[in-house]
Amino acid sequence: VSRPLPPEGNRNALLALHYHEGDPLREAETRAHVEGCAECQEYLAMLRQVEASLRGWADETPPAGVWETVRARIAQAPRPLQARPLPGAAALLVLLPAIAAALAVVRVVGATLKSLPFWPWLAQWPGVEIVGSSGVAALLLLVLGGLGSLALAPALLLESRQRARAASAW
Amino acid sequence: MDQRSDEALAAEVARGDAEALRCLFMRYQVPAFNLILRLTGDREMARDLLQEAFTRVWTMADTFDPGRGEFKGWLFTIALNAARSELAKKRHGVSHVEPDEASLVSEAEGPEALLARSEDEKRVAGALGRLTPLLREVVVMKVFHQLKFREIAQVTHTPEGTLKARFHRAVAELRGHLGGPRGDRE
Repeated sequence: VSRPLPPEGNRNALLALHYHEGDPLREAETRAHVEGCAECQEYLAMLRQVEASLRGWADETPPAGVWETVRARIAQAPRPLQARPLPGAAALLVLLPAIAAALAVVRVVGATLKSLPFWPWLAQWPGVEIVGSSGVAALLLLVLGGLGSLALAPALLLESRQRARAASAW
Repeated sequence: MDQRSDEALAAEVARGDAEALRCLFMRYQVPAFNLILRLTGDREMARDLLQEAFTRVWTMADTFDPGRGEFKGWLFTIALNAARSELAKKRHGVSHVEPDEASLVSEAEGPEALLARSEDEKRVAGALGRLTPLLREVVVMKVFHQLKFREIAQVTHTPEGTLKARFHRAVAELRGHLGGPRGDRE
């Protein structure tokens, strides 16, 4: 009984053998080792003995009425969040007016840009020459949108972290 | 009995289906209750925490991701965390647990067998109660619930190597607390 335990690496190999959680080849090697090693045999015997003793505590049936309490509690608890479905064809149809409105905004901003006094100078730039006033307007709106998102980023990040923390707490 | 998989039922729960939650409750009430009971050693607390765990399953169902593991592991994580925080509040072990008389008399055993079982349960509960909570967790999940170390690692968010080291330590301590099984001692 007072024999020292095998080193941890060996003990882990013994656990893998005992619970069949290791690589079969490694298991066969460990089994072969155990056959000639009194220390490892003793360790496995102790493991089996402790397990057998522990299993003296059989599973119990939960008391009656637990489900009824859960049912009453979930009736008052917030409903789980609804799964967010992917946009279907109907949702895309709803998006069409929004797309049309965005194009109209681009067109108006483009026309406004064209009427500005510095437009002839800007129009000489190689890229601007190709995309025209609407292209520049779209780019401008995109940049403004991006800056707006960046401004909101800390708040969004904070919210997503809070949500992740709440999820991992369970 | 509902034939749907745990993951399909969990998805229904996330959509607000209370009947799906009832199916999961029926499947897992016994293992979840016994996990909590063996961790806390308190039947009353185990019942309360079982209720709490399934209420959390309801409210947090949308955070369950089948790609990250099975439902059972997720439920065990919920139950384990509930037990951990309750134990941290109350700071008590499991040595005071007494055998459940209702479960003892429900089986067709003679009085001597019942007494022996009751003594065994007290002895095991007492030995588990002398372990630190972290050692107790790994022993309970490994021996009573037959989880693989990989699964326990997922449930406890602990590296497998650490869990194995804890398990070796727990077994060595339990050997001292338990002695041999009943048959060996008589």
